[in-house]
Amino acid sequence: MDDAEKNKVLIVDDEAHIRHVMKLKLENAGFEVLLAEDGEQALEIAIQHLPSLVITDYQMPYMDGLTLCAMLRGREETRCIPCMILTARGLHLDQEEFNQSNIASVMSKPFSPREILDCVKQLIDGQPSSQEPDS
Amino acid sequence: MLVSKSISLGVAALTALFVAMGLAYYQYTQASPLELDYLKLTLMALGAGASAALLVAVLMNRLDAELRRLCAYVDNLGRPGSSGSSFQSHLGMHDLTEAVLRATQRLRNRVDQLSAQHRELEIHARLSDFQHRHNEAVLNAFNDAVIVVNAAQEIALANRAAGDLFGFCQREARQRSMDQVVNCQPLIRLVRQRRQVSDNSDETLARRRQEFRFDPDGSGRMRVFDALATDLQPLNQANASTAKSSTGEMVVVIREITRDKEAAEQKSEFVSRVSHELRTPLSSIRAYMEMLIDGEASDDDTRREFYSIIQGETNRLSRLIDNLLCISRIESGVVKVQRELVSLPQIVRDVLDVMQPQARAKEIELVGDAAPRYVQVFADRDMIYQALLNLVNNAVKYTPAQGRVDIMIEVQSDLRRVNVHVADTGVGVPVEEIPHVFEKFYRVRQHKIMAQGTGLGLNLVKQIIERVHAGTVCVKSNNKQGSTFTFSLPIAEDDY
Repeated sequence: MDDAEKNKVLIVDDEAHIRHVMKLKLENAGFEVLLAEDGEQALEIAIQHLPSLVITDYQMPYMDGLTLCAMLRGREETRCIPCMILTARGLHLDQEEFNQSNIASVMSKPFSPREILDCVKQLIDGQPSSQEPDS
Repeated sequence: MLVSKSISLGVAALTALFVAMGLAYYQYTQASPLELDYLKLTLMALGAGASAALLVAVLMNRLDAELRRLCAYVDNLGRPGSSGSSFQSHLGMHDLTEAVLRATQRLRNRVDQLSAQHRELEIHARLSDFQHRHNEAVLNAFNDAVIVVNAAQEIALANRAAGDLFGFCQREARQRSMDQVVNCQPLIRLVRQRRQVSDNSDETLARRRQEFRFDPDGSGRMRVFDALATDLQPLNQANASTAKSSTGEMVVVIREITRDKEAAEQKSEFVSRVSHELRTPLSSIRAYMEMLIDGEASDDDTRREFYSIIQGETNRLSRLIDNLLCISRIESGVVKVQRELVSLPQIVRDVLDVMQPQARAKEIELVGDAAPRYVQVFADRDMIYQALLNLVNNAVKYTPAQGRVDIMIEVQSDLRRVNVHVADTGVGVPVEEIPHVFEKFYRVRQHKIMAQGTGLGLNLVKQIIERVHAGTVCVKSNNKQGSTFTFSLPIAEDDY
């Protein structure tokens, strides 16, 4: 995967304001942001664009975030894409569940865009939060 | 027999004497002096023997008679009503008779004692039987299933509820192995596991209690039960909860908690849902505030946009909390309802006044039933106003620009009901989503694209109309061709 592709982040949330603010934050940090408002749409975009990271809301109608992650893991082309889940409900995974899934991080809502950005940088580049990703 | 023998003996002796005297007389006339002396001695001996035999006979006779009397006396002693008077002996047998009398009296006393004990035992048995039946009746009155299991894992006692639950006859199940009678593995495991616990204290409660799912009637629906197994302690134990000894029997009480469980799950789901819904606008507020603080809004327009979003989400949060509180009060029955005669046409006019600016902004034609009919309902004015406002607000929100929203009042005189229709030319509701639109937090998919909402507005309408005012609310919709929401209320009695 080349540097341009490494910087793609797919944001999945049924709330328009959330998609908008996260898009703004990550684009300001140099990432290319793709948006989806539900799991089905996210799956299509992920298969097509192979983002470096998927940030998804947990509770969404029709397909929740956990199911989306499972479906991404179930496909050869997307199984290695790490996922971050944002949840307002409290989702607890033990270490074994983490190890067996493609979920790299779980964060609670209301979230801090700064913290999201830090986490994104760590997951994509494996770099400390002070470093900017390659654009 | 003794008498006849002794008399016979006496008679025989006398007869022999007379024969001997006869012979002797014959001999006397023929005999020498020495022979006469021998004859005299012989006669004297015979005479003495005969006399002795006769005496013995007489004595035996008298003894026999005495003994008969004694036998009759003793025989009579055992009969009911006998006087128990002392025996008068004619032969000086007082010691014997007194001993017999004493023995007889002791026997009589013992019999009396045993009779009294027998009566007492009978009374106890009757009381015990009554108590047993009473206890059975008490146990059978329980809705919970109760099973008493002995040390051999056999059913010692079971109430009707247990029989109904596990499909066995109470009486036939007694002394049968629990494993055979109760087809419920979790329960059988609990009983076995309980044997390993030493007491009935709170510390052991977790190991004595088991929640399990079971389908008792094979319907495919798993019901939830809570079972508690307690050792039966001896009655003389001072503190049953910590006593270590046991009768070997165990009482298992099984209670169905399906409804409680469902209610708890629903409550938990509701709390979780509310948490999510409250955190969602909070997420926006926090995120945009942080963006502003971090200077990520590069220009005035962006900053104004962010402020507007924060304000909008704050209002959303506020409405959400208001609606939740209102719904919660209605559902818990603590809402204050002030009923009065309310004019529906007036309510319609009030809602139109409030909603016209919003409708005009989207160039939507908002038309209300202007006919000055006199239609009244007996209701809480503010609540009916809120319900109609929510319906019209939804209609305007989910109708594209240049659409139309109509509010109509329809009177059904024969049913004495009035229907209020709110019809729009909006995006409609897909057929598969219609059954869900009045659920809490439910939002139609395409509605979410068009506008913000709490997902509680329609639920609040339903609560107000149906729960508080005993009315009905429904929706008819053709996807992408608009919807008509209708609520129906009984007409006030003073009208018509």
